[in-house]
Amino acid sequence: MVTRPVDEAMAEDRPAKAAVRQRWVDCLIELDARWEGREPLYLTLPGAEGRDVALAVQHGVIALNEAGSIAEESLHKVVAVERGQEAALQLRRRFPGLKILDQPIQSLVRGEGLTSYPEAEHRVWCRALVVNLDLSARLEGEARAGGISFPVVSWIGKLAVLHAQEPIVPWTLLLTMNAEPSLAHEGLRDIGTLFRENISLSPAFRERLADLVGPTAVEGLSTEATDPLGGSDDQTLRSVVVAAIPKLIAGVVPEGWVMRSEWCLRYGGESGHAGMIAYRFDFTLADGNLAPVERYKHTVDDLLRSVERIEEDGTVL
Amino acid sequence: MTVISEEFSGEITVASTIVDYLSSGLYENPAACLKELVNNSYDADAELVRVFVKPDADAIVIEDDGDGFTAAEFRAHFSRIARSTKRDDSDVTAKGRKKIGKIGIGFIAANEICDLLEVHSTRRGSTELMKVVIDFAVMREPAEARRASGSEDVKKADYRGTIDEVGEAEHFTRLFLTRVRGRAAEVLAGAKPKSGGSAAGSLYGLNPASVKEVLAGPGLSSWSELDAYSETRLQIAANVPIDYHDGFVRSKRHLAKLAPFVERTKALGFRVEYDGAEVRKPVVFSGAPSDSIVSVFDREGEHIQVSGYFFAEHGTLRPTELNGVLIRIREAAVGSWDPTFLGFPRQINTLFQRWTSGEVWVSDELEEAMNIDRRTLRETHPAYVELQRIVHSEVRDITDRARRELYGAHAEERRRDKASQQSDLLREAISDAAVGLPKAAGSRVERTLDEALAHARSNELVKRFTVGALFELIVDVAEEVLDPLDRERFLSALMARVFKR
Repeated sequence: MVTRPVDEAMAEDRPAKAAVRQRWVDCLIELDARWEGREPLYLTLPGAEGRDVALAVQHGVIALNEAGSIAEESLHKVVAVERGQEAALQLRRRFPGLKILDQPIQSLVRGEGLTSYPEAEHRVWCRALVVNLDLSARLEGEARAGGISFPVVSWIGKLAVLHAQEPIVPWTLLLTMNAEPSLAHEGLRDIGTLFRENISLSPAFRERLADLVGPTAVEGLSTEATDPLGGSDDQTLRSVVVAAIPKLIAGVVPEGWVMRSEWCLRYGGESGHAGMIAYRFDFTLADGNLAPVERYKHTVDDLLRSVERIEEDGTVL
Repeated sequence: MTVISEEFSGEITVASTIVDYLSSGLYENPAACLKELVNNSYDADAELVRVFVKPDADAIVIEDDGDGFTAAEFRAHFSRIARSTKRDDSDVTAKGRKKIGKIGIGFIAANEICDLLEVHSTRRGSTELMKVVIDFAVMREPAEARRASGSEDVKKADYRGTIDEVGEAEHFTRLFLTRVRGRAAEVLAGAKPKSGGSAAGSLYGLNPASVKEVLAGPGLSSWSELDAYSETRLQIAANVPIDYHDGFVRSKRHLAKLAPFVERTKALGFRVEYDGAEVRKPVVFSGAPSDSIVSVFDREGEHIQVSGYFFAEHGTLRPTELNGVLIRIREAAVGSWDPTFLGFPRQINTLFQRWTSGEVWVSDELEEAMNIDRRTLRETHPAYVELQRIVHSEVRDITDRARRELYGAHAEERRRDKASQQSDLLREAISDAAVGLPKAAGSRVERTLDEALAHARSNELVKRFTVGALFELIVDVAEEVLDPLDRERFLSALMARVFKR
């Protein structure tokens, strides 16, 4: 059997990852209760093993028929985005009837450009109530005119735009990324600058950021020091990434959404495992009576709420 | 006088364009294409073939655990269609299966379903994993544009491939059909019957036992009442060499007779899963043991050897797709059940032909009579003519038996029931009419009638009795045992009773 590193990573059943999957399925159970069947419930990047799909089956979110294939009523409830015929085949063997889109997620959302969006069937799938982007990738930025662009963040922005189209679909993003800092120092400085406006806008954000990256770094950020994160250790830089991702996403979602950070789980970063970060963001319709700046403040206030850590044995601290 | 000024001679040849024509549009429906690919797996000695179609048939996967092939074999087999080497070494596989494929045309059946076919294959004992992508888009262009320069050959598709490494223990072939053509996807995944409307049900996700229940159910007149997905699945199942349903005939006695055919397919050790559910031959006869008959035959002709069975049950056979005869050569079906029984005269036992189904296994000689579409036979071929004769003789026998043993027995039963009902009604009427008679006279009438009826029954006369005939019998009895006054009173009361009824 030919396997890809991504499949090996997905297949790994570390207790910490299992704890994250449990959060995913809790979220699915919650949203399944209000799923009306107009849109798909779940879009996922499950890897060839499809562990999250198996869990959803085990908890009755996805029904199977007597032959063990996806039941008729669940056929268009879940879609797996999986690049590669062999990986897709492995999924088909485990879950005959599972809808599989054989393409990378960036291709599904038509890249980062803001002029091209998925159409027809692909548009439907992208408007799932729960989108689970389980990425093993680091937060990579690309230098563009006017700053750094983060492809992952751009895809999420496009998903938010798609959900905002009529009929509007309030949705949940489950996002897992490698939290190891990979940005050039230059990039980190740019991110530091991004935090500055939020620090002044939201005391709650300032407090939570200080918990995460330390008061010195926050002080540096708020006083416009030229290199507030210079000399930071790996742990601090990881924390910067953890804080940066929601901040970047909040910056690209259309105004009508309020983004709520339901949970944020850090795991790995020791015993040879990469530091990882998993989030749940809920996107709900903003109160129309609030001014845009107020709506944004609500989002920022909430950004770093409930950051938890999962130990290697799966215990959530 | 005629003067010959010039003579000429030559040979008539066939341009390769004809092969192009013959290999395009060969298959009447997506099922016919898929069964070709499944039969290829059979020829590769696979034990299990998995077909994945649902939910939308926008991508179809067929994978087997057969012997697989190398890139060199791919080129040798498929780079020039109709120069197949499938039977060059032997027409029997290592497992002893007679190869179904002959000229390698089945492989490009995929082009009628999709524009892109990706093949991953590794040969048993080899570490080479071949991956090749075949682009059929070129087939949609006119043949002239596809003719290779300086050659008569016509291009059917482009392919490009790679060779990777894989563990030696692996052996498989995986076909990935993508860019599935619109109509094919609609049929293959269709949640509605092909004819539209709403489906009576679907076989998707059902295990063999449940499928058998659906097929045997009284409500299902035709496979076409199910969704298009299920109909396709049944059509494939009818064609390929897979097992029968357990207990596909209700009568144990009939099952025992059909055991050789069950064993024959079981011995092939070939299974097909369709979207995770095992598929069995869609032959299920639901008739009650007392309402059905079976004949089994094994005939040696001058050109061919034929064995098979015919089954008849009381009443029109349902689902109607089973009505007729299905010919199998090398375990694969030729088309579907032929309701004409290879042109059996319609006027002979017309009713009972509709009660009959059969499968016939014919020796390889008939292959020559099979047209390239694998669903029709050339009617002038000697092997076909002989097969036709044998089939007709067997159909004659089974339909005669159906008339005699199923219809005749039922007709007798119906007549007896009817006569008995009439007799009961009259008896009731007589009792009522006799109420006004002196007690002794009434008893005399009833007793004499009982004797008369018993006599009539013992002579089988009752079967022919009409109400009128019975009434005459009663009048005779009344005249015999009653005086004129009582007779008048009794018959008037009886008439009033009968006419009121």
